[in-house]
Parts: sequence; structure tokens; C-alpha cells
Amino acid sequence: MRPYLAIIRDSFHEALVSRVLWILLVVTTLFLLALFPFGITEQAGWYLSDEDILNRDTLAAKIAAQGASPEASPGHRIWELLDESTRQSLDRQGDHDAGPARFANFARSLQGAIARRDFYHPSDWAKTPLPPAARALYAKGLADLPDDQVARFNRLALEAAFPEEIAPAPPKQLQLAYFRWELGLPLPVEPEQLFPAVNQLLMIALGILLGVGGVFVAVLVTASMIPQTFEAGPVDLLLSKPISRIGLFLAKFFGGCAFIAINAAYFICGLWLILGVRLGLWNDRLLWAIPLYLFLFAILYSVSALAGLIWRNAIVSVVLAVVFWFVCWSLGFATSLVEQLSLNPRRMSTIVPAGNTLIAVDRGDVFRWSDEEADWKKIFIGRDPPFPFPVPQKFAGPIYDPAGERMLAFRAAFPGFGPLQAANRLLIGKRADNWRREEGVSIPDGACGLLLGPQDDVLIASSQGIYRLEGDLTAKQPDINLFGLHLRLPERGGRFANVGPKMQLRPLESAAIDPQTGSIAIFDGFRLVVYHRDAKGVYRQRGDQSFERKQYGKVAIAGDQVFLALADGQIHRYSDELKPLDVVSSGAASLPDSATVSSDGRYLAIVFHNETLWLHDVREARPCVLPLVGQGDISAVAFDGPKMFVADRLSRVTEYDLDKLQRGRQWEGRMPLAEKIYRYALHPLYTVFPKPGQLNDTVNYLLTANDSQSGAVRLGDPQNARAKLDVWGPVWSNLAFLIVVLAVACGYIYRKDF
Amino acid sequence: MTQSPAVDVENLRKVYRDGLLGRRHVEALRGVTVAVARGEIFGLLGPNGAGKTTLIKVLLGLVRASGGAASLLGLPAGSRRARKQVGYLPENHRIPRHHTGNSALDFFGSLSGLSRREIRRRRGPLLEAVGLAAWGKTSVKKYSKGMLQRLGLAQALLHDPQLLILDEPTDGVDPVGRSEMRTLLQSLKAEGKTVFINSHLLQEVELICDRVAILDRGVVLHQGPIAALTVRADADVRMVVVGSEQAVRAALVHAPLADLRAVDADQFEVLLKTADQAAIDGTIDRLRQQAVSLVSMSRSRQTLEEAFLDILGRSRGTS
Repeated sequence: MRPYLAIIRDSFHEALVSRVLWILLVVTTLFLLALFPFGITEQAGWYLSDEDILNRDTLAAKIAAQGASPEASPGHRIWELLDESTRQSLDRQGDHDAGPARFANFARSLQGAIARRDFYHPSDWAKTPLPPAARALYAKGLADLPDDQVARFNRLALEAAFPEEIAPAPPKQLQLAYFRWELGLPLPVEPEQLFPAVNQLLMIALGILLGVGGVFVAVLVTASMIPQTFEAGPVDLLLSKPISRIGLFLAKFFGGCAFIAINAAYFICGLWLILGVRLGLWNDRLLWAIPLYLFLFAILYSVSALAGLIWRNAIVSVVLAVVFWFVCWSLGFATSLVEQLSLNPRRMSTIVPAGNTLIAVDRGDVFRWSDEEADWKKIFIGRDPPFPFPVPQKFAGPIYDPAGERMLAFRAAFPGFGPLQAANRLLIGKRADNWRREEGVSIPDGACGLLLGPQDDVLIASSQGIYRLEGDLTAKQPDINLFGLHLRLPERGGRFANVGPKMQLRPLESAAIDPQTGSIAIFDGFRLVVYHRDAKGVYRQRGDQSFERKQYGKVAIAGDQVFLALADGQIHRYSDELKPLDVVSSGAASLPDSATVSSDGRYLAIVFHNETLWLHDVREARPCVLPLVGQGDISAVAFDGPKMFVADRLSRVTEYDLDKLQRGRQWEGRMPLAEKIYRYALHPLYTVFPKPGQLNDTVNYLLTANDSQSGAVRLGDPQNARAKLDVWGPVWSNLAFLIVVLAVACGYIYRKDF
Repeated sequence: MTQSPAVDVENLRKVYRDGLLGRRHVEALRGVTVAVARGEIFGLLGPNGAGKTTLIKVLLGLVRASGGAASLLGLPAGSRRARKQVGYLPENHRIPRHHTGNSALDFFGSLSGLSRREIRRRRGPLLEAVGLAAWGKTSVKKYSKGMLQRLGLAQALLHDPQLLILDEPTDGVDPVGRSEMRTLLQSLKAEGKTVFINSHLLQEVELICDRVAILDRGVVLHQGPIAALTVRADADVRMVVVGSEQAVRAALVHAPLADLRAVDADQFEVLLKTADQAAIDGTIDRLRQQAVSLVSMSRSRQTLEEAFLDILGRSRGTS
């Protein structure tokens, strides 16, 4: 080990002598020293913001009135302390032309007043009882109290004098300071919110300072280490010693890493100390950032080292490392862009077996399979609302009504409100009419899903109850359009009639029907409700299950069992009265996208957000084993008798025979150019290349212990689910890349003639 | 048990491949066979591009052989165990600029597996021996070429190797330094170490080496002691004798006489054209029988440079 330790030591020696290490340490020290004076002082809560004045007009009137009166009062005292311009502005009561501008300085003037040590005169507050907190402060003697405590007392006295107009101040406030200078206004956070707020800030700062700037500087200063070692001259001398070539390379590589580790450790430990000493935030998790950013550096340095080994030129090393970094970033960006803009909108989200026709739906369009053209052909085309820009609108449904040989669907309304929002209408496409889309009756508010009952009746589950389509569904009563305002009129012909109890649920997450019994289960995130259907087709509530916290999930119902697939990949099984039976693990650990039951109620299929299909044999109460293709890229599933249809690879549909448990026919349309580029170039490269950017998720987790990210919305999910972060995935994939690059470098150096 | 040679190279071949797909071949060594006995100073001679540096690099494992076999001190050439017993001074070596003389020896000593204490113990005397005692704490940036060469020699000697491989060791070293280096190498030889020198300076080689090998275009043209190399095949023997002209002429009747000249009264210079020692001995015997006194006798020799050029010329003339 001695020779290799000597090589690592020599890397430091070189850095010390070349002054690079000194320069970095000095720059880091200066930065930390500049940060050190920052501090947050905890003061007694006294600051009066604009928002703390609940009713400015009343307060101004009261102060002005009391000021004008010779009688001693709090308002009189405040009036005395206000400057002349503020007094004049308060005097202009009833002057509406002055508007809110006259209060521009009001809060600041009041703020100035309560900051004064002579604000409180007992005689002025003689008729105003002080609260206990103020009395306690007064008992200590205002003259002996520090400024902030006096200001706190004054604020309490002000609140006591004008309880309707002044909001109570929190007992403590935080003030950002540099040395002894207070910076700006008190922070808009409570002391207990400070820790997460600083962590959030820290994560962003570390991402920029270390994740981008630091790593770039590190690659720059270490780039010459490997090329200089392996250029003709030094390498002859080194390799004549009894050391291994691979050992020499790895020792040089880890020497560079150790050199950067010292700098990173110095910076982060300094930051950790400053946060602890100055802000009292001792976050030990911050120290995890040292190995993590070192790891990020090692990934880029491995590329730089490999380039340095082959070309033995520091400039080439730096350029290639930066190019590689840019390529990684570009690949991630391009992959995401193509997925979001081109591929995801084309991903089949629903399959509708319609007799001898196979219909599939992507984010905004409906297609039928054309055997003649061996491709998907767009159908269900109608008049689209004239939106100013093309926004794909997802269809609810569609369902196929075999009795009427027609397809039914509706679309979520375009964002709008009240009378500006056009009525949602049932969309109908008849086979005889070549599936041309027509508008029908209005859809009830809060509708979630279109369901086909056991007697081919069309049902809608909404947050307000269950509705059945009655009458002529094409008998559309047009809205009255008055200067852009859509006024709805009662339907004349057909309508969706309420066939169950009135409910007041939150917007529905999911609704499902048992094709055999017609029972309906609906789920709004907090409540799971089951409605049974009587002989007359009327629905009555049978079971109700409540959840304390909002859940994201999909519901399915099959015979006497109700299944609720939740975001953690667990499938909760209930009786038809919603008595909990057991929990089955799908092993998916992902949000469910859809839950579907076969028409005979035997099979339950759940498609998860990670694009895997989980197939369960309800009768046998065990997972069903099928030779599934495309697992990991599956987007939709549908049943038709003993057949199951599974969509994967955007627009490929595969048929499975559930009786024989074997694969059948496949329908796959022509691949557009964008998909070809994605499938054969972008995606393979993105898979192979490391994803250093994703390490930010790991940093986030390490700093905050929070393994979910907010606002991660996936299309197709109605909810803003907090997606679970893959915290360690980037670490493993990047580690695999690092090992591969180092192995290639070791192989190269092993074979190389020097 | 007989000791294995210090360097034993048998039919060694090295082909460098060049070009995009390695289609261009350059044969640097074409069946080289060399043996260096332990305790001798051996010189490897050859023009530029002869394959001398390639041979050394193969011996040290810097370059992989394409065929043949090579061993150092009985160990596979290039193996870590072999390199542990070898001190190497490369041509145009570069000691990293961040070192001083002392720290360079610390670093290279550690690479050879020496403990820090051992390095400290050996460092001083070694710098003294190479004439850098006063320069140990000076940055190598301030060293002249000759000083760097001396430091290179010091690092090669630091771990007390059994075999020293020196590639152009006196390059850039002044005459005094060369003389000191020769003395040092002679003392190493006296200690039983083997020295393998690759040099263009034939005078230096002639002064110090016991044996040499001449390499050209990857082939060994000659290998043997320097004395044997510099002897002319058609060498003249020159004698100065004293006696009567009649007696001298009588004694030289059957000798391979080339010339006979009177130098003084009864003193003659005799020039014989033979390399045959028996013929020379017979001539001396007959001179003595005729009562002719032998004042001096000398055999004329080539310089190493002449021999080198001669061998090279003959090789290239025949090829």
C-alpha cells in the first residue's frame, strides 16, 4: 500500500506547491468569513406590518378622532408621535380620491412610534386594561428592558387599545443581521419554520455553488494530474518502480478526489459550523453533502481522467469533461422534452374493445385500428372549441355501448369558471356514422367516470351522486351564448337522472362498476363509498370507509369484493360492505393509474404509474402469471370476455387469452420519426449516460430526510400527487457509470505500451 | 548452483502497430538475444532507431514483447519482483517540478517500497555520491540538466538495486561529472552490481564497459568484450629489436614480414602482418636464438568507434 499512499500524498504535495490548494482554501475561507457575520436574532415580537393592520380606515379614524380630543387616550398619544404628513393623510377622512395611497406610510409611522421607549404613558392607557404579558413586562420596569422588549410592550399596549384593528403579534420574531446591522424586515417565518426554510435555501445554494461552480472548478484544477503523470518522461520513471499500472492510475484518480474532498469538506464543515454557531441550526445531515458532491465530481473526473489517459493533454481532459457534462444535461433535457411534447400525448391511455373493432385513446385523440392500413386511424373527430392554443383534452371514458353500437365519452371542461365555462356534454360516436363525434346531453357537475351497467345502461358517477342516462341522449339543448356568457337551459330530450342518494363528496379520484351486479364504488381521496343496485336499478349506499388523510388511489369492484389500490402500491381489499379484509402488496411502490376488472369479475388489472401491470386472479386470490410483453412500458389495459388487451410502447396493443393464459395478436402502428429517434438513439443513450442532475434529489433527501417532492404532476393523474423520489436510484446508476469508466481506463492502461 | 544472468534475452521480438486499425507494423526488435553476466558493466550500442530503448522498455515492462523471452536476475522481465531489484534512469526523464531533491528521493523511494526512515538514512550519502549534497532542499526547477541527471541516478540507486539500467546516463553531464559517474559505476561494479548502459557516447562506453552489444534495426550485430571488438583482424605487430642486420634478417626468414627498417645503428623496427600468436611467438624465439634483443613490441588496435562503424558498415553493406 505504501507506494500508492505515496502517490496520493504526492498529489497533495503537487497541489500545495502549485498553490492551487492554497488558493482554493483561501477563497473558501474568505467566502466563509463573509458568511460568518450573517445571523438571525430572535427578538420579542413587535414588528407591525401592513398586514397586521386589519382595518386601516377604522384605525385611522379612531386615532384621528382621539388625537383631536384633548382627553388622554392611546390614540391621543399615537397622534402626538406621528409625523405631520401622516397626520394630514389620516385627517383626510372621507376623501375617497386620496384612496389607499394615504396609508402608504401609516404602518411605517406606527412602527416608528412603537419602537420608541417613550411610547407608553400610563395616563393615556388609564382606561385601557393591558394584557397579562404586557403587565409582566411593565412589572420588570420599562427602563431596564432592552429595546425589543420595550417595543414588544408597546405593541401589546397598541393591540390592547385597538383590538379590532391590530392583529396580535407572535411572541417572537426573527431578524436577519450582518454583524450588528439588521438586514431588512423581520423574516416572514416563525422560529420553528426556520430550519426547513434554511434547508431549502441551502439546497439551492449548494446545488449552484458546489453542484455547478464547485464541480467545474474542481474538474479544472485536477484535469492536469492524470495527463502529466502518464506523459512520456514521468511515466517511464514511475512504471519502472515495483508498482502496478492500474494501481498508479487509481491512486492518481483517488488522489485528485482526496484533494477535492478536502476542499469540499472544508467548505461544508465551515458552512455547518456557521449555521450551528450563528443560527443554532446544527444539521448533521448537511455533512452528507461532502461525499455526495465528491461523488458528483468523481463522475466527471473519471471522464476527464480517461481522456487524459488516452490523449495525455489537460486541455482535452477539461474540454471532454465539460462536453460530457453538457451532453448528460442535454440528453436528460431532450429525453424529457420528447417524452412530454411528443410521446406522452401519444401514449394509449385507454383501450376500448368495440365488437370487432379495437379502439384506443391517447391524451387527446381517439383511434381505431385499420387492418387495411395496418395503422391506427384517427376517429371521433368533431368540432373542437376554438381555443387560442392547442391543449389536448383528455377524454373521460370512452365506453362502448354495444346495444346502440356507439362510443360515449366526455371531456374535462377547459379551465374556466361560472358562466364563462361551457357545459360539459356527452360525446357520441356511432359506428354507422363512421364514429363521427357529436355532442349530446349535458354531463352532471363533478362527473368522474362513464360506466356501462349490466343492462347496457349508461351511468355517470359524480361527487354528487349516481346518474343514469335517460331518454334521447342526442337531444342536445344548446346553451344560450350571450356576449360570451354561456347560460345553461334545462335539457329537453335526454338527460342524466339521479338514481341514487345525493352525496357531497370531494372531486372524485376514481369510480368503478361491477359488470355483473352493477354495484358502483367511488373514491374521493377521503371516502370510499359503495352503492348497490336494486332490482329497479336504483342505487343505495351499502358501505362507507373514511380515511384521516388524503389518499391517492384507484378503485375497482368485482362481485363481493372492493379493491382500492393506493399510492404506495398496496391493494386494500374490502367486502362489498367495505369491511376491510386484507392488504395485498403489488410490489409496484407506485401510484396506480387505472384499476380494471374483467367482465366476469375474475381478474383485476392495475396499471401503475411506473408503467407496470399487476394482474390478480380474484377468484384464486393470487397473482396471475402471464407472458406479458412490455412490462415497464404499459399504459392501459382492458378486458373483453376472456380476452385482455394491454397497451405498451406508446401505441402497441397486445391481446392475451386469459383461459389459455397465452399471448395472441398484436396491433402496432407505424412509428413516427420522433419515436424512432427516441427509441433507438435518445433513450438508449440516456439510459447509458449518468444522470448527475438527479443527484439533487438525493441531496434534498439527505438534507431534509424528505423523500417526496411536491408538485410532481403526471398527466393522467387528476391529483397533484407528491411523487415519491427515487433517492438512491441516481446514486446506483451514476456509480455503475463511474465503475464502467474506471474499468475502461484500467483496461486501457493495462494494455498500453509506454 | 550457478547464478542466472543479470539480463537474459532470448529471440526477443517487438512489433509496434500503428494507424487507425493497427494495420501499419514497425518491427522494433527482430529476434534479439543478449546475455549480461552479473557484476559486469554492459554497454548497448546502436544508431538511432536501432531498438535500444525498446529493448530496455521491454526489460522493464513498459512495453509488451511480441515474442521471445526475457528475464532480469532470473525473474520474468517487467514483473514487479524484477523491477524491485532494478534501478532505472530513463533518457530525457522528467522529475515532477514540485519536488526538491530530497522530496523527489522520498517519493521515488516510497514507490520502491522503502520506509521513510530507510529513505532518510540513504538519502544523504547518495546525494553526496552524485554530487548534490548541497542541493537536497532546492527545488528541481532550479536544477541544471546535469544536476537532474545526477538526481535521476540517485533515485535509481536509492533502493540499492542489483541491476542498474541507465539510458544515456552522461547526457548533459560535464566532463568532471562524467568522471565522477564513471568512478561511481566502477565502485558499484566492485560491489557486485550489474550495470546496463545504453549510450551514444562510445568513448564513455569504451572507458567503462566490460562488454558491449551492437544493435541495429532490431538485430544484434555483435556482442562481446570490448578488447575483442577493437582488435583488427589484419592487425600489425610492431617490434623494435637490437642486433646485427645479418642476425635480424636470418631470424626473420620465415616470419610474415611486412617491413624492416633501420632506426639506428644495430636497431631495427620490424613490422609483422599477422594476427596468429603462434607465428609471433616463433619469430620471437628465432630472434632470441640469433642473439637479437627485443626492446619493445605492440599490437595495433581500433577505437570502439571505428569498430562500431566498421560493424555497422559491414552489416548495412551486406543487407
